[in-house]
Amino acid sequence: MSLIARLPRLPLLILGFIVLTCVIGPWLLPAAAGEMNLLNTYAPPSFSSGHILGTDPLGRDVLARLLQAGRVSLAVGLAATLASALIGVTYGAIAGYRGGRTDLAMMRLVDIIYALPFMFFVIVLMVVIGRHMWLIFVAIAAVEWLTMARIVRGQTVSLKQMDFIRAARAMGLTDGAIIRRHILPNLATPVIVFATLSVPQAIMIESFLSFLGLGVQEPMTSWGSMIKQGVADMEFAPWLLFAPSAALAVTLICLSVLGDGLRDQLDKRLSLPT
Amino acid sequence: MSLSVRNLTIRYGDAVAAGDVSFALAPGRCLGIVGESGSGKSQTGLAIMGLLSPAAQVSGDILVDGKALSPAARRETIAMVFQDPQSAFCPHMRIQGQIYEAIGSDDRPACLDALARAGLPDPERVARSYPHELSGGMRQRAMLAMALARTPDVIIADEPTTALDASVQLGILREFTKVKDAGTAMIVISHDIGVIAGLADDILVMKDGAVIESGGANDVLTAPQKPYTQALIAASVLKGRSETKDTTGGPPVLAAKGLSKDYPLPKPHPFAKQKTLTALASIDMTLTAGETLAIVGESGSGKSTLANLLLGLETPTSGDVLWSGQPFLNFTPAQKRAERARIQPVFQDPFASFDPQRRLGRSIQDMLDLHGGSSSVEALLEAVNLPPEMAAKYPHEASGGQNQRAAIARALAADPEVLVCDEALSALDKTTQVQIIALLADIKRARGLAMLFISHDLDVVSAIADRIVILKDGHCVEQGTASDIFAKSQSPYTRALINAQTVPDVAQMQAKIKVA
Repeated sequence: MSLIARLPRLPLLILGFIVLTCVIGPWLLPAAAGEMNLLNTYAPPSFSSGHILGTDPLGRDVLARLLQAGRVSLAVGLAATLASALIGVTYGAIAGYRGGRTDLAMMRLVDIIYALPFMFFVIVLMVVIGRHMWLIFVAIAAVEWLTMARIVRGQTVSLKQMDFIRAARAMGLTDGAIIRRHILPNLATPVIVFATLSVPQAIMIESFLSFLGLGVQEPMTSWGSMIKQGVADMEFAPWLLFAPSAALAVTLICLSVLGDGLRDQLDKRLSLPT
Repeated sequence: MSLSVRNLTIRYGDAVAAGDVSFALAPGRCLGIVGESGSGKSQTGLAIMGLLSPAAQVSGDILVDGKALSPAARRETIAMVFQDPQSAFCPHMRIQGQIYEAIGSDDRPACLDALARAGLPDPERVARSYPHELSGGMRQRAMLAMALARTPDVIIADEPTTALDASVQLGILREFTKVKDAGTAMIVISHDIGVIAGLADDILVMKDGAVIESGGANDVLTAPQKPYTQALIAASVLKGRSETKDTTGGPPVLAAKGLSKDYPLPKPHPFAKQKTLTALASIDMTLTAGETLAIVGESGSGKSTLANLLLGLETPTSGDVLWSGQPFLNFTPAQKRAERARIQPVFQDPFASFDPQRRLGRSIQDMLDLHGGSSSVEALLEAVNLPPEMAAKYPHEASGGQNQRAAIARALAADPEVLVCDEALSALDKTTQVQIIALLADIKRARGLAMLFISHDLDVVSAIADRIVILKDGHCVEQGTASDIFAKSQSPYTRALINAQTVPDVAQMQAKIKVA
């Protein structure tokens, strides 16, 4: 618990605030806030009208949309990262521990997927699977796990040469037990740190896909989609661009700073003997 | 020029790394600082060079010719030779480039002259080499050349031979002796009292940051005043076993038959023919029940490969490993896992031997769970003279010696027939080595274990082995009972190894260095 206490405080607070408002915010706002009102389009931000961040081309309250979009963006970041960590850690640990031809085959597969142009990959997925909300999760997880697998494999290879792993093998433990009991717990530091840093990356990829029109579909929205719509009306309704951009930027910076802080703390506490 | 240090104290917060160290060093003299790990001897050397971390609070005077100079000015006249020549050189620069940096100009004659003075036979070639192209001994000579290139008045050498094989060590010590005889003052820091005896005119004995004893080298070594110094000298040469019997008669528990191991070498280009390095070439050896067999070899002799093969952690290229007469390779995977209980290892690095995330007791309990030993963690800790509280500690919270005892306890948890000690004492201080040797001997007697003791250190081996196998470049040079090997070995290699052992005696060490 002292670990959390020593993390940078400001980004932790800001991030907590953003997550909390996105999760509970939409329930607190008036029910009508997110609905269309074609009599009140492009209303500039004002406290008196009740639309603190103004309204969009369909007369929907930007704040309500922003919170809704935040749910999607944060969920994508979290889910894609969890999925990529799960796949990447298992895959990397097995490749690294088994070594030899297994390692060669497994890591070449990673290289091949790495080499596919990402956009091409997403479009192929869309053609094959069709357009679904969860396709975005799949697409992002499908690229994020590659880096995780590489990091984990590298760590596993160096762990494997340490005497406690030799001792565990001489003890007669099965490979599975050695990976579960001795390899995975010692991978916690790099995995946690990389996972923290890959949440913003996933959010960013989702925004990028949505910006290109490949992401979430109306009436669902995400920060990326909102930015895309905002760009179109940038000249006479800049608030449509500013609000989602600011939300995205602040969240990404907070996550990055937290990731760095986490790495500094964990590296000190859990660093392996060399 | 003379160097004097007065009341030097180094603190890290409340912890005192070195307290109240004083000495004076005249030109052409050599001061030896001896102590075990954590005694503050290296901190003292670094403080003189002004290379301590900013966290260190240094007080006291470091005077060059009576003047207090800035650390940068001190480094103009004082040079340092570090322990590990591998990491002390920048790997991407040729040796000459690094020496030019030390001189401050691209003065080729001066560079070659320095290399020649450091005893390197072909200075031209060495100057053009990258650090990784040189052997350990040559790298350490190149380090000395780098120090000499600045024509320093004082050279500080911190454990200059610790990373080297014993046979290379004497050669390096001879180069240092020549430099000293040419008039350069020297401070030699070492845990090996034999190295100090060979070089030093005066000795400083340090323990826990304090100077325990000081005086002329011969006086301190022949008539030490303090019990700690006496213990240090006594521990520096282990008591060899007087008479060892031939123990080959018993039933074989672990054997190698024509055992070979090749490793593929990296190819220079993709279409090159695959070449291999022969780490072991048809080794035959047998460990019989209840005996202690030592495998002795220097770095690159293949002794660690042999340990891995015998433990069944690697697969031989050809030949057989026999566990109680049965080929290990013929076991099914499940049989292998069950059989492993009979042969247990103790490794070199006491801190890396345990999972850093698990308490020591947990690691020992894992072994008990796996092999269903009747013992308990407490009983095992007691067997290796550790208090029961150790079970709750993490490896990094225990000392090297405590970890090594716990590693032995873990091995015993499987109730093995054979203990394979792979350089199990090499990372420990001499006084700790003595304790662990006594412990191993006790355990062996109480449990009737056979022990395979792999080491580069003949001194340790003499104290524990019944029989000895000498390995060199993957080949078996000689094997026989310990007393035969030490008393009447015919092999020149074995004789050179025995002669290369350091002793805490000024005259003997100087004689050894002279002929090296």
